[in-house]
Amino acid sequence: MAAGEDAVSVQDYRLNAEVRRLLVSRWVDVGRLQIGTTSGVVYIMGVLDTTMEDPHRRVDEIVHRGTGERVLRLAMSLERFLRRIPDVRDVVFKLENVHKRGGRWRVTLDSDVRAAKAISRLTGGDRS
Amino acid sequence: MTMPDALDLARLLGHLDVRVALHPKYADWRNLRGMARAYAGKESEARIDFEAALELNPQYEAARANLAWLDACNGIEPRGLDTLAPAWQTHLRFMADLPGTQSPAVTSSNPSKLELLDGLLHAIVVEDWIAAEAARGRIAAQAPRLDALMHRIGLGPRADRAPLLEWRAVYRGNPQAMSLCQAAAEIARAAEDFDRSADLLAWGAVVSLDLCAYGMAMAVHWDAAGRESEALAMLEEAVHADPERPSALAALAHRHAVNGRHDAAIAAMESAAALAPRFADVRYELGLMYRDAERYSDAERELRAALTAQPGYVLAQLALGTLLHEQGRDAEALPLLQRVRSAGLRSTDVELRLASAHARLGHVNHARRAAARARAAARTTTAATSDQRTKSR
Repeated sequence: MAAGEDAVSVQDYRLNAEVRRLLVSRWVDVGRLQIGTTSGVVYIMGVLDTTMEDPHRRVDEIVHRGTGERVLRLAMSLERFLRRIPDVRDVVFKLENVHKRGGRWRVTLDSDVRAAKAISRLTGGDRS
Repeated sequence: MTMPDALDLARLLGHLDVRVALHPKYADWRNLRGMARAYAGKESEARIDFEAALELNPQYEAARANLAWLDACNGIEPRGLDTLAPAWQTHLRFMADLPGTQSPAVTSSNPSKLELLDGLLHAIVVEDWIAAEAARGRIAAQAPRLDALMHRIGLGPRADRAPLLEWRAVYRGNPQAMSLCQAAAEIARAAEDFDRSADLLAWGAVVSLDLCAYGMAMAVHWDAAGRESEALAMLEEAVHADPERPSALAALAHRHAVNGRHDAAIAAMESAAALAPRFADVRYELGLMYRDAERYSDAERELRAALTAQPGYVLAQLALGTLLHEQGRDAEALPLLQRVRSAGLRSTDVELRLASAHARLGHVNHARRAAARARAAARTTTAATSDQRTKSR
């Protein structure tokens, strides 16, 4: 018997719905993600981003903070919240714009550079 | 309150500028910003956005309709009108010929309500205020939800003419205004201004007449406000308004599942799958539901259907591989699990299943390697879990 078979009683679909609800409540753009749960393990694939910025921040603050840092914070907080859901045994991310290596979240460089350039164009400044 | 005021266009445009900057290849944000710019009187900039959206996605009908809408606003024969869906053509012709033409077929889900509103609209256009009040009375009697929403935005019986004229202007303008209302409502919710969020969604519903989309949007609204029973009621209302919209049925299924009502969740998702058999997400989720209910052959059928609709659906490969492995069908499970691993989706669970399947098939060396990878993955998981627990203390 493989590990995980003892967890068949876990309601994967209920967990999946819980995960989806948590992501929506945190303004995650679920349209760009694949979300699945198998034997209590939550899998999230695709591009991680929000549909909403912090309403108390202005565009230039978002620029100053940097897109990479914004998504990194999002990934870290999501992992924390997802692991707190009862019956979740593990959370596995396979994301195009951020990844976890050696226990630390890191930005996948290409997407960060692209977004920074876009923001720079928007604000008319050279922040590269 | 009128919609243009409630929208707070300056704030909405700031939000959309950031979305477009962060996602320059996302046609939806371009189209939405184009509409906000148009409502803000920045027509040439709006046109640039609609054209950019079309360049990103040449099949994007909403952006083509918006370009035609700009032409119609300027009294020009809308370009490309014949290439649009019939509902759009009717709407744009209606805009150009007011008064006296037939109603715009904004949505087909609630034709009787459309007729009611059209009666009101026509009365306003010809400034027959007695007829307008009579039309308003018919709406109150025949469409209580719509009546409540019109009250909320200041279009009650004996309403002042100013809000009615404002409504007419918006209604004539663009049925996609619902999307703008939803985006503005999201901003309001982020600031925990739930009254404004509900006002905006009410405006969106009365402008678009899409009571199903209204129900789904209000469910998100109530969820954000932490009122789950209201969210469920709104989703039930959304499905009642349009029983044939798969997205509404799937949203209702999610809600039932969260509340532990599994039979109701399965029934709603089965309806969604029947309406949209090629919708891979729906087939995948129905497969998970059947697996939870220990209906394994049904689960296998649905997961295979998800993979037929979308062969590269990694999570469906994983779910099907897991299901087959649990049934001892290792030769069938193995290639699916290997594809999952090749796609970069690696976990202790996947590695252990690979090790188990290889071992049962007599692939000793492969089984050992997979078991070693499983141990390494387990160490990472344990570290992550204990790290999270430490942080949450």
